[in-house]
Amino acid sequence: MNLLTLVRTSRPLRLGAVFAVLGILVVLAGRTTVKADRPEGWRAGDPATTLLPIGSPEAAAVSTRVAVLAARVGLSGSPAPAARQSDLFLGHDFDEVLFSAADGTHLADVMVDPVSGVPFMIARFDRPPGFDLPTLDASSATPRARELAGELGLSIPATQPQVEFNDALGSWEVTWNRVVDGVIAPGYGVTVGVYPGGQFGGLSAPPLKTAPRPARLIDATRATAIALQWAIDNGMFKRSRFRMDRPQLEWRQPNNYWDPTKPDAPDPVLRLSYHVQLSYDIGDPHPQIVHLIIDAGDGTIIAGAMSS
Amino acid sequence: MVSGGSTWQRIARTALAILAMLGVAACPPQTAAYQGSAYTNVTAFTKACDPSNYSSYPIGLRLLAMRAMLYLGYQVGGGQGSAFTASIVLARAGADQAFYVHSHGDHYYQGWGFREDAGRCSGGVVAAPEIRALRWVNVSPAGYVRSANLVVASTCHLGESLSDFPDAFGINRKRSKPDGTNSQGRRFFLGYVGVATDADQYAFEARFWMYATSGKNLGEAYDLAMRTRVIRYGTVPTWYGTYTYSGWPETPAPCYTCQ
Repeated sequence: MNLLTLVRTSRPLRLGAVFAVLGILVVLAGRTTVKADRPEGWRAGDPATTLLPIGSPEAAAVSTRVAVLAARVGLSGSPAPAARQSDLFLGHDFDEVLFSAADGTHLADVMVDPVSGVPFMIARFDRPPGFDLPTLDASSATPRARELAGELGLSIPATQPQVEFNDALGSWEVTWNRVVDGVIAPGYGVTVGVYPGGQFGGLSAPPLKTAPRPARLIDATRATAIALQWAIDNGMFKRSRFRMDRPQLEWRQPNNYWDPTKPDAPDPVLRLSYHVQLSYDIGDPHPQIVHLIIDAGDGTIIAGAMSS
Repeated sequence: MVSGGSTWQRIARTALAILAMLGVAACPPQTAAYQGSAYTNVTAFTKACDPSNYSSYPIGLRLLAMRAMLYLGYQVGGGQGSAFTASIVLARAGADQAFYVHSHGDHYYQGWGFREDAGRCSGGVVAAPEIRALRWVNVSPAGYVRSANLVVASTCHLGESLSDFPDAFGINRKRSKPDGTNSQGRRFFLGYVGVATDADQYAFEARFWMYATSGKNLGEAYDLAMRTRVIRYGTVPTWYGTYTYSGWPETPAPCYTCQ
């Protein structure tokens, strides 16, 4: 991931650079006013990343370390010096190393934690020879994914993962959900992509923190009552085909779904929550689905999502 | 990918990007031949129509799309709220090189399509056959659908394998490989399989557009947006077209006189 790259050319631009500097100055000059007028946090249209300082020797050293790691899972190409960045949307810092072929074609993008050096995102852009040979199936993809994760230094739980084939990525996606204090954090675990031919396809391991577990938790019955009351108050309960599923205790990110004054990006810290799924008729062939996230400590609604 | 072009073109692109950063979304290239349209359904997702909804996602999604389309070189129009009607969509759809819609999408009685806003809780349906008819070029012996460059259906269902929504814009439901084989030309479709939720769409599209406007091609942008794993509610984005396509129109249009 590059910083918001303004110019899509491979050659240096003297006049373009002047424009860019002027533009940045204008943006910086205007920022103080803008910030005073609106709440903190990422909003649509803000840059998603910003560069952080990193010395050339350190950038080269990170790049070398990442290249060793990448080679273990079969990635090739020349690594660029690491770029240290802050992800303003996801709320964490990272080092990024882009691997390219001699002709400049991107081959892979690797993001690692700047402190531990542990990778949390690898996107493989090339498709190695034989990647689509049907060597692996859903069951044999799991041990191969576990092996690849081990090569990357990741610890994988002994539990059975979810395995599904993703057509658009062209790979088996093997996911071990993250479990904290015995509670699942869906979507926040480790996913290893494995091509049907057995080659490494990619990695996702979102580095999000969890808030302390509340001293007292509301129980599922109370969460059900909160969700039901909310559905009644908001007129959903009387809609045809209304349905409410049993609450599930999960780690979830607060978002601005119920409070648009909050930042557009979700909160980077997971909170122990009850997840309740509701659905009802809106006159379309498929029902409307709503996800309601209720704080397991104080019973407030902290996040949500709705089908489109 | 895009080559350097002339100095003036490069200056123009830089200026355009700066203006985009500054939030100046209405600076069409002077010789803009590359029409883009971006629509978002606001009314159906307001509390008045759907009691469950309080979010600002629909407007944010369109804003993200418009800025990216502008950056890529399209002259972006379209509308939101009551300015997003079937008649406005169909008046432009025949000439759109880039198209973005955020709304309800499904397989309706009229076919695969999406709902207009039109200031109503449940607007009329704009169906793929209507768009296809507008883009149909009737030449002997077979005729063809005039292709758009970039189409994003930020809706439920329209990315499903049976959906002919991409076809309506002349985009085959096929994928090229990163090495260029099976190229589909300068075409890219992004959509969702099954139920898509707005929080996921927002997070995914914010990522996708960020990468698509920072030196990555559209296939790479998709891969990166998937691998950063911002999806939390089971939404499944998918794509068709050419992995290595940059998203730029046929030839990038310069912007000589941006205000």
